[in-house]
Formats: sequence, structure tokens, C-alpha cells
Amino acid sequence: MIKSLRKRHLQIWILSAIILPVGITVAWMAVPKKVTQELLQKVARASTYHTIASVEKGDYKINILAPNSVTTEHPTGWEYELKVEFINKKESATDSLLLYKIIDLTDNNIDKQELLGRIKSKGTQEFRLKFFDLRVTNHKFDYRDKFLLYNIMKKQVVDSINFNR
Amino acid sequence: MSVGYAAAGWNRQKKIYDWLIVGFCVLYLLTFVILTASFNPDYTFETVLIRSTSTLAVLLLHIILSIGPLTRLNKKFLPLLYNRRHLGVTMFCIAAVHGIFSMLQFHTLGNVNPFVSLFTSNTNFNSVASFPFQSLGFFALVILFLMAITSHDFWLHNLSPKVWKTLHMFVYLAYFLIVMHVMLGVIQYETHPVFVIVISLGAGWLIALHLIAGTKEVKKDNQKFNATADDFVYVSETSEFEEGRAKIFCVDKERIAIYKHENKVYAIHNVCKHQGGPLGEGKIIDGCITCPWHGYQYLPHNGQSPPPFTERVSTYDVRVYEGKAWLNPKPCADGTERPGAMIN
Repeated sequence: MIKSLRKRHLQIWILSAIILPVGITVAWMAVPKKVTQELLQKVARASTYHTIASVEKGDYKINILAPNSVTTEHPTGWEYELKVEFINKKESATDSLLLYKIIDLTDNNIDKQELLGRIKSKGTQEFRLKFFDLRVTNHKFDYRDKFLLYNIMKKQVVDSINFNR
Repeated sequence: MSVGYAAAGWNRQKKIYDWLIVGFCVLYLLTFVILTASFNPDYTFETVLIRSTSTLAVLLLHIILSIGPLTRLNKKFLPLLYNRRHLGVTMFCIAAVHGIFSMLQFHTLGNVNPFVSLFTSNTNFNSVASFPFQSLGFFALVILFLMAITSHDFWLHNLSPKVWKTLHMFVYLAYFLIVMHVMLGVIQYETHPVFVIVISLGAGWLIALHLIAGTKEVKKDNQKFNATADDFVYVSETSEFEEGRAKIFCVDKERIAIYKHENKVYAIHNVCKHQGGPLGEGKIIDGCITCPWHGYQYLPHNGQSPPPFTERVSTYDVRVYEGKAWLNPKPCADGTERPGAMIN
């Protein structure tokens, strides 16, 4: 190596000695604090939503959340904004999983069902429901939708979740 | 060294190293897959592949970036330098597998062009925790790709050594992008401190190694020599020379290698014409000074590559008087024959 090249190498590493530790430290400090977030999520959710139906499987749990107060009143009744809360208990076990709501029970084509979204790694995710089968009688909720967990890489249904009991 | 261009310059030594590289990579990937299957059996094959290739590529990049300064600190590492180019191309191939499968996994499931999806699915440029880290990995991979495809003498000659070397120094930018790709990506949700510790140790190791080696070089460059009336400078006791090896002296801002060969000392310019390798860190093989980087050879008495090769480096006058070696730092024209100086 010629002298100018050696000098340039040294300058680059002096610069790296500054920016690499700064970059690593800044990124590390920005890592979300999980516990704090979960607490905030629960408090925030508890103040506006409550669980009206729930199914628990080995690695995950699905809650159907309804607002504590109805959002819109129509001549035909109350309109609710429901959400699906998917709680994944295992770390990154489901990288390729998609959550579908079954629209047509008789159709095996997954594209005919309603795609709610992708299941990410361990944690809680929420998906808004546009349409749902909910009956309310004497302030009691009867939720009847069915869901599918679909592995997009393997092209196969992994699990079905049935709220109609 | 070859007259024409061959697909790759393999010899027995390089083949052994290449097999060692392949063996190490296969062993690493298998170990990763087996451990994952044992402790996290729910992981998909794609996830295991993405993670195993990413960690292997980062590990190899650390090894590659360590080789240069290690050889400057200890000559025992020179064989690693000789094969660094193949290690670099291997590292790129593994990083490319990681990149391609990540694109398939995360950006080909919708109806948007995967490259458009890569740059538009996350635009949180003003957030550290949610920064679009995948784009950093993409740009690092582009740099590694350009380096890998130009890792051949064809490109070295056609781009010119200066342009080629400048391009390949972008590896440091690629390293920075990869560190930030990891820190802003996987570290943001794999919050176990061991990941941060490992990446910090890797960066700390490289920074320390390069600064120590660089500082040592600066000291060598700044060494003062006093010239006599006839322009010769005293450089060393002849007893300090090792047969078939050189000592390097930086006189008038030029590095000069003084080799001992068959009881004589010869001085030539320290920079190899091929890629700027340090000729003084090589050794004499078959009567030729052999560059430690890629094996280019020069005859000690005239600085010329043996026929049919045409490379030439400057030679210098050297004298020996009462067991002391003296050097004239004024270079002779490239390839000029100088008789050397008898030690006894």
C-alpha cells in the first residue's frame, strides 16, 4: 500500500471509531421497552375496549374486542367497531402466517376469504373487522365468525378458529 | 500470476483454503439449523435460512476486515491475506442468499413490485426504532455485489488500480450499513442484550485492530533517517536481516523494501504493481520477491517480473560497510538492474 492509502485507511477507522459506537448506542437506546408498552397498551385498551369473545390455543390467543360505548346509532340498531386481538405467545414462530376471516365456508379457495393481515413475531396485534356476525341480546354478545391461520409459504391452512360454540 | 485472464487464479494453496472456507460455511449453517430445530422447532425453513446466512455473512465480514491489520501486526496471518478475495466473494454469495430470501419472504406476497415494496412499505425515516433498516441492508448488498463482480484482475486492469481500490474501500461503508441494518432491524425486537454485546464486540475489535495497525504504520512512516554527503542513509545492521525476507524503511515518504538473498542485500520499491501490495512483507520464492497479496513476483536485482511477465518496480542502490546497511533513497527507473551489496 502507498502512504496516501494507508493514511486514508487510518482516517476512515478514526471516523468509524466515532460513528459506529454512536450509531450502535443510539439504536440500542431506541429499542422499545416491552414491559412499559404492554402496560400502556392494556391501560389504553381497558379504557375503550372490552373482550366479548375469546379463544385460546397453545401458542396464541384471539380476543374479539368491542368498544365500551357504541360508536354510531342507526335506525336499524347500534353499529359496533369490532377488533380482533391476536396475542402470539411464541417468539417469531409464525413468520409466514396470515390471518383470514372466513367469508364463504363452502369455498376452499383462500383468496375468497377476507385477509385481515400478517401475524408477526411474539406480541399483540390488532386487526379491524369490517364485517362480522355479532348478535346482541339483552346486552349479551353472541359472536359467531370463523377464522383461519394460513401459512403462505407452505400454502396450507395451519389452524381454524371457531367462535360459534 | 497469468499471462491472460483465467476465470479464477487457483493453485493448490488456494484450493485448500477454498475447501476450508466451504467446509466452515457448511458446518456453520448445519450447526445453526440443528440448534434452531432443537430449541425453536416452530421456525420455518425460510426464517432459519435468512437468520443463518445473515449471521454467517456478518461473521465472515468481520474475519475479512480483520485480515489486513492482523497481517500488519503479525506475518503469520499472511496466508489469510493471500486468499482474502475468495473469502470476500463467498461472503457476498451468502449475504445474497440472505437478501434474496428476505425479499421473497417479506416483499413478494403482495401485488407490488418487491423493490418498490422494499422502499415504500416502511417510510419511517424520522424514527430510530422503526427506521426502514432493510434499505440499509440492500445498499450494503449492492456495494458487496460491485466488489464481488470486480474481484478479478480483468477489472483491476481495466478500471485502473486507483479506481478499483477506491471502489473496494467502500467495504467500510458497507460494514457501517450492515451494523446499522442489524441494530435498527433484528436488535429492535430480539431485545436480548447478547445480540448488542456481540455486534459491539465485533465493531470494537475491528476499530481497535485497525487503529493499532494504522498507528504502527504511521510510526514506521515517520522514522527519521540522516543522509550522508553522498545521499546514502544508514538503515540497519546487516545482522538484523533474515535470509529471504525484507525489512521495510520509509525514507523521503517512500517505502523501500531491503531484501536479503544469498548473502546480498537488494532494495526495491515496496509497492507491488498489481494491486499495491507490500512487497517487503512477502518473501523470496524461487529466487523471486513474491508479493504476499496475490503472488506477483519480481527479481531482486532488477525489480522486473520474470518473463513473460512485464511488471517492473523501482530499484535502489544499497551499500554495506562494517556490518551496516546504507540505502540511497533516490529511485532508479523501474526495472533498472542494481547489483545489490555483499554482506560479508
